[in-house]
Amino acid sequence: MARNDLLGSLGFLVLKTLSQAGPLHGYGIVLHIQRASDELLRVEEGSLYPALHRMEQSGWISSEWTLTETNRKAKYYKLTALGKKELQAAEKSFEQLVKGVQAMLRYA
Amino acid sequence: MSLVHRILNLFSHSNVDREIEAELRSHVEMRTADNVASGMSAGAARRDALLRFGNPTVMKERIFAVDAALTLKSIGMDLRYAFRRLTKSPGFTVTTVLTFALGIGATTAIFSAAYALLLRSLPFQHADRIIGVYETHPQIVGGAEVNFLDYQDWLRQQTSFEQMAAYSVAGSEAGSDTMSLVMGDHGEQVRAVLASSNLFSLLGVSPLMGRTFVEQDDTPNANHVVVLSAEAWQRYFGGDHGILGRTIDLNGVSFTVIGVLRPGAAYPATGEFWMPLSLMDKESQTRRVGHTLDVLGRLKPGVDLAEARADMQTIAARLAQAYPATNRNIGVLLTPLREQLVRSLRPAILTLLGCVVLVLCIACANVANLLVVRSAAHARETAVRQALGASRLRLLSQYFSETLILCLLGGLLGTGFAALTLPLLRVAFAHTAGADPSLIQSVELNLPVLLVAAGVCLSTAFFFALLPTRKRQNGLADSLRPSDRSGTGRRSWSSRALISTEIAIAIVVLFLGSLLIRSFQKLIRVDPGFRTDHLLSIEITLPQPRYQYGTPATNHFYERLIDKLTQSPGIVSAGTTIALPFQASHAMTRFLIAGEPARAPGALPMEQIREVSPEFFQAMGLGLEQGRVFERKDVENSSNLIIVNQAFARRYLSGKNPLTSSILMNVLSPHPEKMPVIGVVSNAHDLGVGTEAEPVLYFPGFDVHAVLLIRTNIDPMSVVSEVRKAVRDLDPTQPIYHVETIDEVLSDSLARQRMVAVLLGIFALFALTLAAIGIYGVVAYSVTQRTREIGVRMAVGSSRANILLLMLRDAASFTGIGVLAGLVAAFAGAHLASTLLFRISSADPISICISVSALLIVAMLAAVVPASRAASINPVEALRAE
Repeated sequence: MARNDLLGSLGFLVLKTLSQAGPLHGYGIVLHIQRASDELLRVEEGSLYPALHRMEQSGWISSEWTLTETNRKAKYYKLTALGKKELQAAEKSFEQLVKGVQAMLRYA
Repeated sequence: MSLVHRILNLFSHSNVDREIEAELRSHVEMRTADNVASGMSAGAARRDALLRFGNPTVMKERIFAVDAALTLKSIGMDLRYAFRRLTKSPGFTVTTVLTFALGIGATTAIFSAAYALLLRSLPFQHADRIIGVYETHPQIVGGAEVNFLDYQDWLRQQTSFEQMAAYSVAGSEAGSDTMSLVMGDHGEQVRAVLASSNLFSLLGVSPLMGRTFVEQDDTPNANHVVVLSAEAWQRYFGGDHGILGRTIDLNGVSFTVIGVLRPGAAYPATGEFWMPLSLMDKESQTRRVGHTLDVLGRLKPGVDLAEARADMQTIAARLAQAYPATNRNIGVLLTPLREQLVRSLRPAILTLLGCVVLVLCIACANVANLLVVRSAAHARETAVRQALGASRLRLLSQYFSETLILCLLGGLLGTGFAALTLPLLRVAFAHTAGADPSLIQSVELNLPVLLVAAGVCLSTAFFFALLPTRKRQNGLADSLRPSDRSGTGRRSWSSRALISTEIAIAIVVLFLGSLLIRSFQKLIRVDPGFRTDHLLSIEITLPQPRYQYGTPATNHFYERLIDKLTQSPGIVSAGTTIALPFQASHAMTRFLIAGEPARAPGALPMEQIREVSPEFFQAMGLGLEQGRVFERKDVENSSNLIIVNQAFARRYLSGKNPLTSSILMNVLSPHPEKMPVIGVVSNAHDLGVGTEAEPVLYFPGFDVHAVLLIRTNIDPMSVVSEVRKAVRDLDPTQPIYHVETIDEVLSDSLARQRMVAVLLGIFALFALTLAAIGIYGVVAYSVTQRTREIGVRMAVGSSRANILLLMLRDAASFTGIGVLAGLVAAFAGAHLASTLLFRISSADPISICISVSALLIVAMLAAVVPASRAASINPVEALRAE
């Protein structure tokens, strides 16, 4: 739980996105989360960048300036080895959380 | 790593900023492009993109906060802001910094002395287990040296010590701790120590070159070997590296140099040449009469001082049984090495340290008061900032940076003061006979001392920073209300309590200061029994074996010298004795008054003896009360005659005619000698002016070592060249040494008392000044706070005198409380310092009067200045002020 808290659900989603879709810039991450969640999850753009920078400071992701398909300069974020480990741990504890909550819901 | 990165980012602020901006811009542009692609107009597309994003500046700030260690930046800002605020009120800043510097400076200086003398580890192995062992006798104050045979018995019987070692600074000749080192055509008097072979291994001292003693060196027929101190090696041999194996001539005997000690490792610290103990004179080694040894023991691990004391006492009791004649009254005294090195300085230093901490407390209380007053002035500003959302931590950090600057500036300045006063303090300690010179050298500003000073600065800064933030609790609204008066009552109550405490502490310091100054005055007013001015002392040790005790050669040398000197202009008279005035002769003898019943073994009285020339009494200026003084023929005939002083006559010859009495000497030998008393002279305070005049037995004679006393009618130091010439005329290679006026000897003998009195006097002045500043501050603040009230009072008819009284009554109440509390504490404190007092009670009424009246006068002056300002307030202006 504790690690999950530290990461936060936005961070969790960002890490998952980067592991599924490979290197992406901030705007791409917003679009991916929206698309992959069938428009159910919408990322607050104001919170995204502080979260990205925080994760970069923690060494979970790294960044690089490259050109987009439309020839625009953008900052691309990439999962690091440390970030992969963090993501695995987060997934595990998230699954436990879900299982636990489901069990609570079934309890009558 | 990330922290380092974030700190680095602080310095490349604009780069980081530009990158964040570019990233955000690219996001907005991509969104706009997508919006346009999905059919929006260019303007609407951009607006939508920006709207989704929120305030870009706030966002940038938030991201930057993630990327850089902003807290550090805010601390930097706080420090700069605090610095600006402080330079805006220079009066407050200077007062605070100086007050604090005074407290820290005095504390640092005294603490460095306390650290060097009481805390710092000694340069010896297991120094905490090294114990000095002495013998005691009811008629000797403190511990005395140990008899050689007793020491041998201790070695065999004791079970508490790993090792026991002995040394003797008495040289091979009683009364002299020097030997003559002859090098080529000139001679030098050097300080010699006879040491048992294990002295250096007990202390854990290893040599710089060569070796120290081994057991074979300390056997009667061994080769004559000598170990040098590093200082002696430099001074007499210029640091010659070929010194090992060289033969040197000491008192006419050749010794082979086998080793040189490391600098600072000399023990005793004054020693220069160490020789095996077996070279001590046969008389001392074979009789239980002479006491010549200093004994050290290193406790076995796990054995404590009390067990060792019990062990040694058992042995002493056994020896008393076996040798009642000599050992009946002999006990033992065990003193840890550090005690032995520090001796009488410990209570002095502890008292000084106590007082200096009190002065620091007053300084802190003053600074605290100033800060509280200042924070009251800034109360509204703080409240506004709090209302706008500044966190308590943020405010605390700001106060902390302000007090930190004040305390650090004060601390730096104070350490500077301390550094300036330390040389003076070292000189003062060096003149104090009580302490070992090796310890005095280490009175310095070293790392531990500086760390303690820095620790005091930081903790006081933190404590002060908490003061104003604590005050904030009585509600934001109150502070924000215009013309705030509500907090005044409580705030001034706490600063009054603070000022009362300050006054109480000042009374304690003042009382102790005046007690010790008065005690010192009594000490210097003691009549030493002779005139100390225009009296010069010079020591001479004639080289052996050419000169011996009581031989015609020795007698003639001194007689001719005295004759030569008395013919010189400016010299009134000259005589010799064996020890400086104000110093024990280190020669004592057992005796019996002839005709008195024989005493039980061990119950024989024991008193000091001094061998003097016939001219001694005239040179000293001791009055002849009865009979006659010695004559030259008494010396030459080795007549067994005695002169005693009045103290002796009173104690042992009361009710008798001294001139018809005789004294039995050598009472422990089978053939006691009966010696008639031929004269009684007045008393001299031979053991220092702090002790009563003790009984003394004077014998006629000259020893190879002599203290020459010269009475002059001109400046005594101006005859030294005359004396040197006279000595050289008699023997061209003969050196003289220890040239000192008796006024200097007297002054040195009081150095400790003078130092304590002077320092406490200074601290008392500090305390008084600081208390005055504090009182002035509180009254002045209360005047500004009550300006309106005073205006109203005057408007309704109060006279200026009434206003003055109103303000003074206030000051009188907290001063009165402080003085009363201070007196109670002062009595308790003075009781602890009573060992430092001389002929003065620790509740001395005059000291009480002095300290209380000094404080009251200063308090009144400090209060009258701001109070009279209150009385001269123009009521119209005061009422219009708000």
